[in-house]
Amino acid sequence: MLIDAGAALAEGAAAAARARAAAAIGITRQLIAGCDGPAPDSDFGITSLNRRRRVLARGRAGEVDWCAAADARRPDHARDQIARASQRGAVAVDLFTAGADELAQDMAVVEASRRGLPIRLADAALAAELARAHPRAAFVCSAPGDALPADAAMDALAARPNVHLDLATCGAVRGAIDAALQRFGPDRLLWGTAARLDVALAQLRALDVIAPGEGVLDNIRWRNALRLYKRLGGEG
Amino acid sequence: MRTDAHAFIGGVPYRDVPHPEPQILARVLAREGVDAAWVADLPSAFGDAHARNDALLDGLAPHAAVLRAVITVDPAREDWEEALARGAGRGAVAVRTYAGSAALEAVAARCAARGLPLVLAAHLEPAAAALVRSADAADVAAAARAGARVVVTGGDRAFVERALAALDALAVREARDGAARERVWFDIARIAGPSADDLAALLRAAGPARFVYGSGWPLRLTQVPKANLELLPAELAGARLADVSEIVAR
Repeated sequence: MLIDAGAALAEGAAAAARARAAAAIGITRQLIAGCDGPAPDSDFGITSLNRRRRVLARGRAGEVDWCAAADARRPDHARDQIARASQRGAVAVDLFTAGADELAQDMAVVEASRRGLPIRLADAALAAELARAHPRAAFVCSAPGDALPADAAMDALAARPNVHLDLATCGAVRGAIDAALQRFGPDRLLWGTAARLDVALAQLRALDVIAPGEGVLDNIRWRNALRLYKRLGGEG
Repeated sequence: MRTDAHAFIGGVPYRDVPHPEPQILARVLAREGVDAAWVADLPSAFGDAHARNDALLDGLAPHAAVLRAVITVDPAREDWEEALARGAGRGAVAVRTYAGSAALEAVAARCAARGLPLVLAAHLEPAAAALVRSADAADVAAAARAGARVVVTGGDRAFVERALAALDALAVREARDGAARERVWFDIARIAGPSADDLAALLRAAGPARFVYGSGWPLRLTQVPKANLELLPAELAGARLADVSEIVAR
């Protein structure tokens, strides 16, 4: 089994490219997600993003799950989206946090965690802070790309046992996966492709070289995702 | 023959780069099924380039069958021609420079005269951007115009498209030099695969002969370019990239 625990929403030609590459890699289940970059600029934009994710998951039930987006700058809409998404089968919440105040962030975290939904964040330092303030909530840091979060932020993040790291955060940077394994251990890492399936495939191969043993690799490939995202479907 | 056109030894001043030694690179190439690599000295991008060229050539010598030295030349230094001549005399396969404008053209012209390809870096990695000058599309066109065969490393799709447009503009402006585009190659290390499919789009638009295999080791995962080629659409499967060993032979 191979679970893509953070697949960027792809539409049009990109959707076909994603499907082709996912099949070639052998991905059995995908969680459509993504909280990096700017948030959609309106309530309507967030709602529309969630609808597109949900429709995709519904059309490929058994293969695709979805993560609901919420913008903490709009606390009322965020709470509403989290509540609706929870009823509609979302397995986690992508929380956009840029420009949001602390209270609004806390409110969104509480709303998601009381519904049993892990919270995905792109800001490593903020994820560490929120994970400290909300020890019973589950968090995932996912900041795809080659610009690694600062060491201090990664250390703070790793110190919180209620935080997982999406390996998309390591990008193609050599040494980053080794460092993530050292900091988080193999039980708190998730394999997500974001928008770069070529880099994600390279990461799997790098893990074959780096990681100690098949059992450990299976944790990263799928077992951690199933344990964390309790609403993910059964066998892929 | 598959040669990695984009490899280094040595580290960077702002982060730990694990095991950037020549013997490790030689082992990685064997593991990945890559026959050879063009190897530059990474610290030379951040400091006194000429002082490290001899050390690069010495360090690669035990692995001469697979690791080919790319010396670094800084035309801001008075002794750059001497450094270039010395490196060429010791068997360097190509020359890297991080210079721009007129100085770049002088290096390119001298490389052309000596039959040495010139390697330009479009990008090393995000944290290096503030410390090392990256080549832009105009640099690529200027170097090709000066007659050099140019290998550009680390460019993404947008960079490649800008450079090709600059080369096309050059061909229109100076009808005498329409062949400049044929003297430029781009490595695929940072060109995105699916779901953007940038590599597929560029191979369709410019043809696989304009691209060479490159990884960016030890800064980047060596497995990325191979994975990218494997995930190409069916009609591009088996597309044959140029190999830098062929570029040297031209």
